[in-house]
This record gives sequence, structure tokens and C-alpha cells, in this order.
Amino acid sequence: MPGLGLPHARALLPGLAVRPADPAGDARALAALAERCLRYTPWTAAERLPEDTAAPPGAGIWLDVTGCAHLFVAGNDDDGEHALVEDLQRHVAALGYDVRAALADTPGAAWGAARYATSAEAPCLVVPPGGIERRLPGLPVAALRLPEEAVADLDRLGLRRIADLKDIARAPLARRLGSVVRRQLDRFLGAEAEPISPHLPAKPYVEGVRFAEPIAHLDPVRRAAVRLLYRLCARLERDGRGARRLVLAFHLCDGGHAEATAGTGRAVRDPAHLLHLLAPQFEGLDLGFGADAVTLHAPRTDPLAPRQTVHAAAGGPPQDDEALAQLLDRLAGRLGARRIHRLAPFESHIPERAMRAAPPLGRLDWPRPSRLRPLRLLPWPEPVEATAAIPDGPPVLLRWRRQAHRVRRANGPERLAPEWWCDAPSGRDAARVRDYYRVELADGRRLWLFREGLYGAGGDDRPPRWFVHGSFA
Amino acid sequence: MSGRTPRKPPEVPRTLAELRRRIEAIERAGTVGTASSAEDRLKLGLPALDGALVGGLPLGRLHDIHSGGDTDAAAAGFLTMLLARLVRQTGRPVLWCQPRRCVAPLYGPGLALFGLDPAQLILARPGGDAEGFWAVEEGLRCGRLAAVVGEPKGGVQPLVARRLQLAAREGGVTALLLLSPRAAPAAPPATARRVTAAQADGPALPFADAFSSRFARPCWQVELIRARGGRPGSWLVEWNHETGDLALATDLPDRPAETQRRTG
Repeated sequence: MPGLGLPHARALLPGLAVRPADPAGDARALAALAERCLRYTPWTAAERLPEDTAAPPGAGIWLDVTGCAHLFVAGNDDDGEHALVEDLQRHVAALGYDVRAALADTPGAAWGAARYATSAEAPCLVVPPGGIERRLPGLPVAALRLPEEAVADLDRLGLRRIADLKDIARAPLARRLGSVVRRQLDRFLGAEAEPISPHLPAKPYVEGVRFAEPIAHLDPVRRAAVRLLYRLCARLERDGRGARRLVLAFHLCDGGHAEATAGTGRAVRDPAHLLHLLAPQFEGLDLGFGADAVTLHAPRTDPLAPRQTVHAAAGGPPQDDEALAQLLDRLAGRLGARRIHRLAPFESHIPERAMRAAPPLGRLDWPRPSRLRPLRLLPWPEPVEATAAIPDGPPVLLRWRRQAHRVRRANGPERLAPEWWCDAPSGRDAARVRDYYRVELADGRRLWLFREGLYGAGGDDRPPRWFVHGSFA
Repeated sequence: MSGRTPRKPPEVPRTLAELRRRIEAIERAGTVGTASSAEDRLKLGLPALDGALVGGLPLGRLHDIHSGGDTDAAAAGFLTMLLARLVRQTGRPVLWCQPRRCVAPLYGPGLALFGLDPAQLILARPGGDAEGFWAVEEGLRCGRLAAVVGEPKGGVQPLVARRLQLAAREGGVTALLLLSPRAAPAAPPATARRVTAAQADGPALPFADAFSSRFARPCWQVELIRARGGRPGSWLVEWNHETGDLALATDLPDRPAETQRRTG
């Protein structure tokens, strides 16, 4: 019941299941369904969803089945249209949708028929060729895909069915109600053409070449791979995209398979740079009895706008940021993508959690430092033996890595409580309060120490322990 | 797209580019002997140190910095301060090649205290020294960085050091090697120095605000071991987190720090 408030609905039906509206998800599901319908015709399109998804007409998919119906001929059905529509309806209904299907000469008539001429008992309707005027005049004017105001205006004039509109002279109709009613009526009846722009399946970025005979030498195979790379880059350039990942596969004649993969920090379609990333991986590759085919696949691509390039012969250097991105790709290619990173801040007051790895390019905002923090932090705090003058005081003597150190100066404590929202709050491995001290040793080194746990804390029988966590400059 | 083999760029322009590059290298080498101008040196803002370095740290060269040990961050702090100034001067990021099995990795919140925006620091984690030197060399040759830092666990072979120096000069990028205290100095560094943590006098302020304590102004013993055209020496310097300045902690540069100390 559209327009019903949630509290009202809950009052009527206490066990009501409520889900938030997800228009983007609906549009995605509809597009996926349109793609599925490619089994009936290569020409399918998902209808644009109305703003208000609760609107009665429901979401639709266009299928232009011109020339496709004969493939579905079965039994005494002479042109296959009934079989196609019924199969379509069964197929989509099996996915859990409440679905109606109608086939007519014009998209407008099919739209109206599917919504207003079908019922739950007879969900399929085929309007025979040339049968729109004969079969559908009884439909309400809403079947013309009119805006709500136009339907209300027509209703006020007593024009409730399409048949009522047909006999009225066109010019006065347009003058009184605007051109939309006239245009929609023409589209319904087929007097005006209505193009449907089809959903085009994305062609995967795969290029391949097959050899007439297996080739055992790497040289010609490498040349073929380079050619594929140039071909793929040309395609990417046409589509305004760049590769983020590339997989070059050598299919060997003994059934074996060798791969070279490259990832880039951002979209790239420069064949020379991509070859630079891939080449070290198949250098010295043993092709055994020979390779049958080579394929190059870009499983991940990103949009990349065309840009002015400097002619190589002019000796101009590549763009500043481009050269840096290429350097990062080269480093990532040899060291691994996770080994090239930056340090990103993270909202946590526990020192070892206050930092994350971030990609090497892009924006990062570090807050101004508000506390003294060490320059180097040990990945795991190292336990030390410490002697303090008073139980809750700073240490006086340290024994760290089998060496005794006298503490010359100490500063603290800075108390950091565990984060109860992600640490275990109780039990043996419960996180404990840390008291951090900055200490200066006799040899001048400055360390960051902490004492874990408190003396005489209720309910915690573990004695406090000391750790070294980092070093100051 | 035609199915033909993509044509390689003709050989002539490549030869030309190669020749141009060589001429450029010769020209650059020609200027090395002459006095460097002010803009290709980095001023440390400390007359005593700048004087010993003949006007500042030369850019586009290889510099060694020896630390006091694995867990001693004094040399890293001095290095970070240099990086912050290089980033400000060139507006480019820096690359720091830190071994994967580093005893004490860099900590982002601490870097910011030395004026270096951690967003400008790209970390590479090579698996070993060989990989690390390769990454440093790639970074130097790229020429789009303010500086490249290498942190080898062992020493530097003379051949490697020579390669790095050539790469630094070619790309115009400053190379900084953070070496362990026992590592032999790389064969021809432009400068080599040893930075160790040092104490300075001052009252212990156990419960005071950290920024007003001695910990906010770390002291380093900076020892200039060699500098081409400069004069080696040793200084006790003090870094101030709040102002971002270096200052001499004592006005007698060559006097050993021991005699200055008075346990407070």
C-alpha cells in the first residue's frame, strides 16, 4: 500500500518485516536480469526505474525479439511467439519474481499490455501482428506511460480508456493536454517510432593468438605476446580505459600453462611500460615441447582519459607523476604490491594500532602531532626487567637484551586504557591498562617503555610487567 | 588495429637521444669541479655545520649516515629532519627502502614531529640488501623524488656505492644511506657522518607536559667523518620539535661532549 506510514503499517500488522529501500541495488538487479534475457534476443534493455519504487507500474525490461521467435517454435504454435513469451515468463518467475510478459508490435503497446492486460492467472499475452487497435483499446489511459498529472487531467475530462482518446482530433488534444499525450498515443499505436537503446554486454579485454604449429623458441612467442600487448592497448585506448591487472598466459602443447601477471598502481595503457612489468617474468621461460597459443587478459580495467603525450623522438620526459607511477609499478613488480606503501593514520589511541598501510599514491591527511611519539616502534613490545623506586613510579634500572641500563631521566606516565570495543574485556588474555614512560638511558638513548597492568588492581591476579615499545630520536 | 607486428621506433632517434644523454652527462660532470651554486645545496640552518659542509649538504649525491645501533633512532631522527627539508625544497615525495625484517620500523606519528608529512614518505620493504640497493637505484634514476633512503643491514660494497653515486648524479636525486655503526663507509660518499643520541643537561621533569620536557628537544652528537671540500668535526646539536630548528647545544664544537655533562 504505497504512501502508508511505517508506524501505521506496524500497527496494522505487528510482525511486519521492514527493509530500507535500495534503489541502486534494484537498478543493478534489473540490469543483471536484462543481461540474463540475452538468451532470448541480443537486444535487451532495462527500463529506468522511477524515483518512487513503490509506484504501481513496476520495473520493466525491454526485449526486441524481432526475428528471434522462430527459434522457439514448438508443437502447434506456428510462429514461436507464444512459446517465447511463456518460456520467458517461466524463466524469470523461477528466479522468484512476480512477472508479467506481453508481446506487441510497439514497445508502448507491450508496456501497457504487460501491466494492464495481464493478470496473475494469465501472466502472458501475445498481441498478434496488427492487433493493437483491435485488442487493446479497452486499456486505461495510464497504459500509455503518461505522467500522473496527465492521467488526472484526462480523468477530469472523462477520458479513461485509450479508445476514448482515439476518436478525438489530434490538434485540440495537444493544445489542451500538451504534446505528451499525443506523442505517447502515437508511440502506443505505432505511428511514431520509439527506439530502444540496448544493453551491450562488455566485451572482456582478452586478446589471443594461436600458432599453426607448437613453437618451442621463446623469441617468436615473445614477439607474439608483444603484438597482443599493442593490440590490447589500442583497444583500451579506443574505449578510454587503462589496465590495472594483466595476465599473460602461455598455453603449452603438453597441456601445461605458464603465466606472467602484472599489476599497476593506476590505469595504464602504455605498451612499453606494461611490457617492462611483464618481461622479467617470462624471461628464460622453458616452453618445453612448445607453446600452442598465447593469450593476454586484462581482468581489471579503470577509466583513463586520453591525454597529450610528448613525442618520444622529441626527447621529452614523461609527465612528472607518470614517471613516479611507473617507478612504483616497477618496484611493486619486483618486491610485491604490498611491499610498497605509505603510512596512513588510523583512529586509535593504542600506539601499534594508530597506523595502517595505504597505497603509495593519492591523498592522505595526517593530523598535527599532539603528543610525543617515538620515531621507531617495535612491531611487538619487548619484555624487560625493570626496577622502580616506588611500585607505581618510573623505572630506575632496566635489563633489556641481556644488558643492564641505568635510567638517567624519565618522563611520564601517560596512561592508555585498552579499547574495550575491540579487546577482550575479561579473562586470562584481557587487555590491560598501560602506563607509558619516556626514559633516557645513561648512554643517551631515549626509549618508550610501558608498564602493563596496575599494582593491586581488583580482580586481576597477574603481576604488572614492563615492555620496551619504541625509541625516540 | 592492423594485425601487423607493431613497429619499433626507428633506431635513429634512439641513437640521438643516447648521444644527447651522454653530452648532458659530460656537461654535468664538468660542473662538478667548480663551486656548486647555492640552490643545489641543502642548508641545515646551523652556521657551524653549514660552514663545515661548504654551504650545506650537496644535493644529488650519496651521503652516509652511521647510526648508534639497531634501536637507536637518533640517526633516523637526523635523517628524517633532512628529508623534511628536502621535501619542502623540491615539493616531491621521498622513498625510504626499509628492510622487511627491520628491528624497529618507522612510526608515522613520530615522523610528523620532525616536520616530515608522512603522506610524502613512500616505504619500500625489500627482502634483502641486494633488493634494497636495486630499489634505491631505481628510485634515484627515476629522478622524480626528493631523496631516496637506503637502510642496508650489512655494509656497502665499493662497486654498489659507485653505482648509487652515479645514479644519484644522473637523476639529480639525493641518496642517503643509513648504516649500522660497524658498517664500513661506502667508498666515495660525498659526506659521511655519525649521529648518536647524546644527553644534555636539564632538570628531569617527571610529570610535566611532555612538550616542555627534555624529550621534546633531543640532543644528538653529530660527527662529520668526511666531507668533500669540507672539514670534519663533531658537534652536539639540539633539535626542537616545536620550532623545527637545529641549534648547537654547546658553543665549543670540538670539545668532547663528556666534559660538558653534569648529571643533574
